Amino acid sequence: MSTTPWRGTLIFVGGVAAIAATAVTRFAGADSSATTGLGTLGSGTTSSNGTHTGGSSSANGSSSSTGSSGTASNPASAAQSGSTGGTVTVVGSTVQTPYGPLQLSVTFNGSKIQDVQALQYPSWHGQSVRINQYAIPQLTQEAVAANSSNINGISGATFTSEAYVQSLQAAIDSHK
Amino acid sequence: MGTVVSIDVRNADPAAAEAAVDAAFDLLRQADARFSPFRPDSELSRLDRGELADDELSDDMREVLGIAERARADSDGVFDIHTPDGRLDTNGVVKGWAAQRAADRLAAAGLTDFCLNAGGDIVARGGPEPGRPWQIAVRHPADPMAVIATLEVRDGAVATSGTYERGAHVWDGRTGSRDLPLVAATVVAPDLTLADVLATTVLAMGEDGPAWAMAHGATAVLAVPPA
Repeated sequence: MSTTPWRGTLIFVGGVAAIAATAVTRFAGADSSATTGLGTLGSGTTSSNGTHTGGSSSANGSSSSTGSSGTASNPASAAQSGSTGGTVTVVGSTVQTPYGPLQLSVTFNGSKIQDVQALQYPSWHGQSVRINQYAIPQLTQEAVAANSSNINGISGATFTSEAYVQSLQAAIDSHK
Repeated sequence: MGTVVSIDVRNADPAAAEAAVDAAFDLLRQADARFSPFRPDSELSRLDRGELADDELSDDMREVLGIAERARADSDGVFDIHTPDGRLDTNGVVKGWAAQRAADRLAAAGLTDFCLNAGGDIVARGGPEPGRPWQIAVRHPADPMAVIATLEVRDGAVATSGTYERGAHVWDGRTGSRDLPLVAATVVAPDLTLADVLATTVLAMGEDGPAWAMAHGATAVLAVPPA
């Protein structure tokens, strides 16, 4: 079990499910074990406030729509993360969808989601939307361990053959 | 290519899977032989030394050079296979391209559920078991045994470029600088050829990278600025 938390800022683009995944697992490794869905744009559901066990979060229709801009905003200016103590806010840059701009902010306290705000919300709320037919990243609220049987592959910067021996991928391969 | 390729095949006849995997590795070895910068007799090395005319290039080399040129144009020069010191370095294209081609070979052989990991760049098809997508984790930049995110991928590719594993092997084609604005960039896209090129570009592009990549075919982008 690895317990190295990520404490920096992450810029995440990719919609509700994707940003949720990052936010949760960045603190994973210590204690979170609940599995949940945080709204899956790919499943045909329109909900972006699925249940989770960590805290209260909803990116619901009551969120204000601040945006009418047709272009993606600068991720850097969008991705201002506040980090004080254990609370971290991750703000995704604006994602252009066929239905309008989408931008989310997720605040974490430890491994728990404290708040999810939709800073910009497209007009498709309430409709059935499928953002991408190929790959739907989702967040899993699971602790990630070196020998976790739940992880099938590790994506990372290219490792050498020597570095592979020390990699998480090697640990996964050896358990097959 | 000096790295390790893992292929996880599920839900397949063992003999058929083994034959398909052998064929896939053959393709990877071919690509390595052709594009290796470490082999003086590779096509890449000969091209880099100016020993090959345009009409002497292989179809594979033309394809890779074409992908690189499109990426250069699409990124306004951020992505460039010409190194700051005037060499030709196709690594930014070849690994993803070769791994995607190997994965295509697996699919063509009838395999429906597999996960191919070429040194950290992944092609996933189907799932590890019925009804479940592949669980792909993104490595922690500072800890090879930790992850910072998990993605569920059914049919797609995940590529990561970072400065933490092989040092400054990526540069900004506009300036030649290897002092990059991000520590790591991960891109999810329909295929690995695209994901790999986008991830490398985002790493060099910095804060503008994620939105740029989303506009050029990425499904999701995870960028890690310096802590």
